[in-house]
Amino acid sequence: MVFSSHIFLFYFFPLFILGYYALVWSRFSLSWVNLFVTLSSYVFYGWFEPWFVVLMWVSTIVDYYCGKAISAQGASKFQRNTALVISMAVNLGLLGFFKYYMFVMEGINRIAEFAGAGSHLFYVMSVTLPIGISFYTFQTMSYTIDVWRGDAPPVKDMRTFSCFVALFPQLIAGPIIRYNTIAEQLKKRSHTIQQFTSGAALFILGLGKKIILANAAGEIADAVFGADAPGMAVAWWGALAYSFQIYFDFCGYSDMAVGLGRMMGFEFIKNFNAPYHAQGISDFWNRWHISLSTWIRDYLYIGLGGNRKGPRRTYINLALAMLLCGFWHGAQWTFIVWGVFHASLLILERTMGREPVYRHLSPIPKILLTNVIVLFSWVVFRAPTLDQAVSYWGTMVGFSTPSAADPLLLAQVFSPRHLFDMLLCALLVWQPVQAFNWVKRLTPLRALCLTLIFAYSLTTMFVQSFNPFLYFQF
Amino acid sequence: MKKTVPIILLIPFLGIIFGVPFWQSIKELRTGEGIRFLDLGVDTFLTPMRRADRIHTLLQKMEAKASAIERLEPAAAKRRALNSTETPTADKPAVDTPAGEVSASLLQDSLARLREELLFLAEDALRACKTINRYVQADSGNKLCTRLDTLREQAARLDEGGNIAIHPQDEGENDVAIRQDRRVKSFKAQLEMVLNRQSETGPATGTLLALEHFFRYTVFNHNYLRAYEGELEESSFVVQLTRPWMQFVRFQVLGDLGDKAQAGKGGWYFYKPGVDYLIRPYMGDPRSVEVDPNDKPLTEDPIRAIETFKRQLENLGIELLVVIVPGKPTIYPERITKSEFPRPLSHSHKAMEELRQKGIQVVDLFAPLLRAKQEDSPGKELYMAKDTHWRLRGVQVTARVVAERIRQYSWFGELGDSVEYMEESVTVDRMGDVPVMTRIPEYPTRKIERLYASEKVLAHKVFSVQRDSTGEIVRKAPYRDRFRDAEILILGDSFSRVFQTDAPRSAGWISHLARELGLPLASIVSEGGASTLVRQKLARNQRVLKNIKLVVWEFVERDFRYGAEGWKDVELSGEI
Repeated sequence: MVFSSHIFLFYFFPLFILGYYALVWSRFSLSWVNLFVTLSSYVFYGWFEPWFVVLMWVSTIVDYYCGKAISAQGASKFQRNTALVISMAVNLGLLGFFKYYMFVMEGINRIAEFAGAGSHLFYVMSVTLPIGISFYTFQTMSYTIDVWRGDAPPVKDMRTFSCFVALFPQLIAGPIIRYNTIAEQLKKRSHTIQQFTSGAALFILGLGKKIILANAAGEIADAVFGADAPGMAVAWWGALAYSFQIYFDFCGYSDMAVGLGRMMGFEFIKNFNAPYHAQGISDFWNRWHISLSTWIRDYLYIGLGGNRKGPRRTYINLALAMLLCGFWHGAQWTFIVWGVFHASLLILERTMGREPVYRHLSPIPKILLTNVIVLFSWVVFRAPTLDQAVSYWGTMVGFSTPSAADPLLLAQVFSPRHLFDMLLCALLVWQPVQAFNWVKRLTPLRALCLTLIFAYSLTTMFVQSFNPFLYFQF
Repeated sequence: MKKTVPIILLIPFLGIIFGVPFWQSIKELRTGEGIRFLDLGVDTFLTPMRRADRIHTLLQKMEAKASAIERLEPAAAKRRALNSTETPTADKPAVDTPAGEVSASLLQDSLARLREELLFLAEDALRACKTINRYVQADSGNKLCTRLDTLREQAARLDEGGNIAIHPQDEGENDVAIRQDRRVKSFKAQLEMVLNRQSETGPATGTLLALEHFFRYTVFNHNYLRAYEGELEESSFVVQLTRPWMQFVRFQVLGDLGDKAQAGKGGWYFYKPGVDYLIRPYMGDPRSVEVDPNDKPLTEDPIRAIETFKRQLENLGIELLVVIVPGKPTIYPERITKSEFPRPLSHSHKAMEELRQKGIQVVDLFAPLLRAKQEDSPGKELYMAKDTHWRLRGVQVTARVVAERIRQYSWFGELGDSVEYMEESVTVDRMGDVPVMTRIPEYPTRKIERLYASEKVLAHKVFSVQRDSTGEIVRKAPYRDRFRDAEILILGDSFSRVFQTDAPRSAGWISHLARELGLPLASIVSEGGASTLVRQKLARNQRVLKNIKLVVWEFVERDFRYGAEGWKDVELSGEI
């Protein structure tokens, strides 16, 4: 189910909230409330493809018992390590098969073809990617690793653990919640009208970001990236539109997730912190998809030794971490190149004390330059193939001739509505107050603005065609 | 946080999310349709059993009817045989039916009624099988439906055979009886097969069917969920109420015309997919084939489909002539934006080249229409300002160019009787199709009135005329397709429909082509479906090809990419 859909907003969510608070106010134990959340989350997740719920159950059951085995009284080191390996193998196996199987097999076939062994040496099955698998497998792995490390207490019962895995607000597109950050809330959380109001406010802002801004910018990006040969101006406009789209889309989802969590008494981590205000790539990664970058930092980068084993090893670790970050987004060369692109820039900045090459400039040019670099990286992230990304980059720097129809595209994507939408996006991206902070001090005027935003988002949603979140495909 | 904040925010927020489904349910209850939201539960838990029961009941009724037919058929045959040998004459009157025996005609009537009822039952059973619920239909490969379809066909043959048997002219009575008996037996065998499959589980008849339904067509089915969700949104009163207003506001404030339309200069409007066709890569480009999540992938190759169709026609001794109509944006790009367009815009030149290389005859309308555009005067352009289609001049140029090409065929001189046509000028008020596609509500504002204002369009209506020996017109009738004697068949899309079957009628390019050639023509037109649907229509009526020497296939260029139903191969049997 998609947050920005009729079925969610007018059926699932009201029924869920009604059931949830009926249980809370009837003084049912939190364990029963969590069970209700879990079952509702299965409905939410199963709405995309019902059979994929089974995969989630596999991951849940395996990790629950592995966690138990790791934390069992008198468990030997071998037993603990074996349980951890089983958990990793199952989660990475699921992820590997559903996300990377086709990519790997096609790669093997290509190598075989190159070696003269025929063009289709191995039959490649068509595998559908279960939505959100990258998120919940990383989430459950964090549990077993935390328990193994002793950073988190093992969960006592299956009901609580299932709730942690399936918790629907952040299930599909994050933020990636780690068990140790939520363990206490699963056992005890408060429900106040202030918290609910703040959650509703954040949810409305997230919905507005998605419906009013991301979808509008997405129209431009889709038109330009799908064009035959756009001209230079249009190519820049398209890349800028995509950078707005991906930010508002993903940040909007995260805000909605955090808002929904708050309405249920949970407090999730902030996933974005004004990433387009970054003054360098290292700074950008401290602000963009924080839950993923910290996950990779804590479980991979630091696990590999982090920066404790000398500069060369640090660079290698950084490169590996960013490569994984790219590959996590999808089984495509474009994502790998995107990871490498960011890894190179991060290593370069690391050699300069985590500052960009243009560190001597004043903040505004630094922000501008960082945005241009990020914009270039979004091109390869968005392009369907590497060839198209290279060709698009060529267009951006004036190396290609636009098609005869370029003026038509220009007229399409520079229409008054698109200009208005892009202006709105730009103003909201670069204004200083972020949604998270804005809802902290809600005034009656702000509440009124939010009500209007909600009404406008809904009516806009009714005239838009179906538009799922970008991060669903990851 | 001030106490008023939750009140200001939460009352409308919760009011909307709870109020909308509540009022929707009340409205649905009032209309008597039942609460749509509850369909999810009904479709999942009740419909499977209801459907299985219904099918089973129908099958049992069919069995009873078939047994009755089986019992009555021999008696009826015997009666018929008796009647045919004892034809009543003046000196030998008809034998009176003995008391207690049913008369032959009564028996025939009963049998006919039974056969008809059996056919209705078979149709009902098939419908019950196919109609899963309000949101999904059974898959085309559903085995039970396939079997029930066979049963229905058999029931139809039984009914047909029975009716023919009442008047056996060419066959002997015995042959008819044997054939009917065989049909009844075959029907019963098929019915038994279906029933056996149904009652595999013993007394819980239909449980398997209900279970199959439960897992295949309810909440476990992705398609059901999507259809249910879509319908829930589309039928929502709040959507229906607010959508027109939102469209209105967006149009009034930002000039937004929605997904289908694009505004041009000087009151011209364009169909957006027509512009997109020029902007997107050529259909042969790998980028068009790759599955891009944000674009509709081009899965079927138009060139290959056209080539296949040409081969199919060749097997029937018919030639194919392809007419690709340039879209309005190709001819009038400067009406979209003021920029210069020094190079040809359309991908269709490439497509025409590819078609010619494959030996397919193609008419180039691009150069003649662009030439004709030089003689444009205000209100006399080749295309209408608010419509995707052409005006009279576009129609005339196309008819002339296509006629010139047709006259070059070696067999042209051998074609049958010519027809004399004449033209008459008429002016029609035409509401453009592009404003209609925007679905912007017709509120009385100047901007909207301008958008929906109709255009006055000149058309030439074509009449066929017959003269007497003195040259006086004795009969004058608007152009009509003449399938019986036409040797040229036109397949087309809305460009073949415009002015032809809509006002003023008989003034479209087909009529003008007929006038240019002086010949009768026939046409099959599918609105927006010239890529596949029109060929499917032809395949269903293949007998129209009987006298045909040439098929002229007209479609607009954007159909290469956006043709309804894509470019599927359509089976044409080798015989007419």
